[in-house]
Amino acid sequence: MLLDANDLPTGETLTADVCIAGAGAAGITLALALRDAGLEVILLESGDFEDDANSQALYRGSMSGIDTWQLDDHRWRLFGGSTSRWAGWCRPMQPYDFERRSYIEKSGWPITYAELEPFYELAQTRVELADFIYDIDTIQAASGRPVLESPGGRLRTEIFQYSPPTRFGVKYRADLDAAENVRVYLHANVRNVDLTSSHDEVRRFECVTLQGVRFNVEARAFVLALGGIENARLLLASNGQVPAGVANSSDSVGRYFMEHPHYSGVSIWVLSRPMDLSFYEFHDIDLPHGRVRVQGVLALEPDVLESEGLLDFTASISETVVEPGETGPIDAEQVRSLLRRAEDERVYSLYVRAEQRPFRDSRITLRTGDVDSLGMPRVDLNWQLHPDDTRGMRRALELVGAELGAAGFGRLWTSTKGDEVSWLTNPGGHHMGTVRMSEDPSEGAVDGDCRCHDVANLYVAGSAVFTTGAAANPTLTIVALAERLGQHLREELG
Amino acid sequence: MNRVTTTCRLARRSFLGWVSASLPLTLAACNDEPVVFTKPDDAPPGAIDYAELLLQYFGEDGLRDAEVIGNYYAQFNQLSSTEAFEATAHTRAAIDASEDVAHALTDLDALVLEDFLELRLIDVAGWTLSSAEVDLCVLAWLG
Repeated sequence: MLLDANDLPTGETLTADVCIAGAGAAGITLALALRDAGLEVILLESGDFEDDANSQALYRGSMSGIDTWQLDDHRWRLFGGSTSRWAGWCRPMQPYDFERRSYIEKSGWPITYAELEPFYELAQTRVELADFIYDIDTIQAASGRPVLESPGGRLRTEIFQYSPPTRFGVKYRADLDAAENVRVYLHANVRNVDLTSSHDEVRRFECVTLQGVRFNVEARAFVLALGGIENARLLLASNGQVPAGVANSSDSVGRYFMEHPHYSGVSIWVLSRPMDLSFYEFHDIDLPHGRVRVQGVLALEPDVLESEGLLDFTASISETVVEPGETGPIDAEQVRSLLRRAEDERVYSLYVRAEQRPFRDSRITLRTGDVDSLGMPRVDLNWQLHPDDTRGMRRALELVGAELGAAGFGRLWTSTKGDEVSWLTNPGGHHMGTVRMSEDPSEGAVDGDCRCHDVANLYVAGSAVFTTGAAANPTLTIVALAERLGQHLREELG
Repeated sequence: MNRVTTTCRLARRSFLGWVSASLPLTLAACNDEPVVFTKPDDAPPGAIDYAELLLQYFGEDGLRDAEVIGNYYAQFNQLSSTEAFEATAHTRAAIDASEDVAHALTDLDALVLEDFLELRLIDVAGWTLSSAEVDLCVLAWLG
């Protein structure tokens, strides 16, 4: 049922089996996953059903690192969260993303792809996609359009499927309204995570509305599903009992903030001959259980990533026009002269979405003496990339260029400075890693079940727990992890 | 972009003239002490006409673009004309092993593809190019 926390009497204490803070993709998925298990669920949402400027303003903070965006961009504080704006890009992480990669410090999830795969299939349905099919051969056969050859075996084509995109707040509002064992409270902000005296369990969430109503929620299990920045913010700000913040004995909460650096137009591809590149455009295909929109993207083969010590990435391609000087001292038209018997005058631009390595100094901290209207400390985000990331990106694009050259497809230009890629680093709006998952309690805040190592009945849902970020947009994995957490809580509490 | 001076350019054209005619030549390289090149005694007979080869490879308009690329590459890497020429040895060997210009063109096409496959790559102002094609640009610039 849908309720308004402003209607609660101040001082009220609500009780439930599970209390979930945050009604975005993770929180709504988890609430739905618990709905049929006979558990009493409270789902707290700060915002309304529509945009609310006062609630949105609670996100404001400062950027001391890469500052090509602001903290109240890309994330939306309303019922449905940032799915109210997402573009629908879906792709699972790959099996190797979960493995320890010797060349990436802090890589290796405590769970495997195989453990998550059944939940990816549930997630696929949750985002209104039919078949969990991402293997290129099946998709290409259904598409009928050709994929690029790779004579050197380095280049691969991957695909994204596109959710409608599902607006979780719209799509699942009626389901949650109809669920008698799920109480959704709008305008409800968790102000503090209150621990028991032994500090190893949550006693209650202390909540407040912007209108000043204060109430508490007691539950058997508590879940933070506030997003990659707010989860860390709340844990760090709940420092009245443990100065380092809740669940932070590893000193990892707020650290290892990862994004997917986006480089739009970082590479220009001069084609040498006519080619059918339509597989790399948005197009609809028929799969066994329905029609889906897909798009091919370029990537490097996993064995190349490993042998070269590179992070993953995907690159979309789109036809463009290049003005003289745009590619530096050597113009695209001059390079076309190297392409003997060039029969195509098209030029394509590469739009790259990259993985970044977990980097301890890329972090969220609480600002001193700067609080929001609820009295919560605002955050500073110092988003940083390790220098090896930009060097690796340069090398990765060089290898793409080599494959295009070897196939006789043309030549590739990349904006470089020395051995690094040099281009405006835009964010993807994907906030990951700040409450990272690790088997080792000294290396991360949550275990493979998303349970906090330090606090037995506290869980974290969403991309904050990502150990590494992969090159896949995070929503499908966020939803899959929430489905998996739902199963865990059903087993634990049911 | 820095352009070479007329004096240097003339020297470089003479330089390629040596390659083409297979004759000893004294070269006054840009920013270099004069360097004497001597045709090796065991040079193959019937050497390729480089000027003709480059013209056919790049075409008339393309040759000018190739010169620009070769010039940029040498300037950026602070190569004297001597050094730039010597750096093209691998590609020149492939050319010199060909029977004639037609065969040389075919061999060069294969060499460029092989360069990309074997990752014999050269970054020229952000362009990922094959080692052989950069050599050809350098030879065009020298020529």
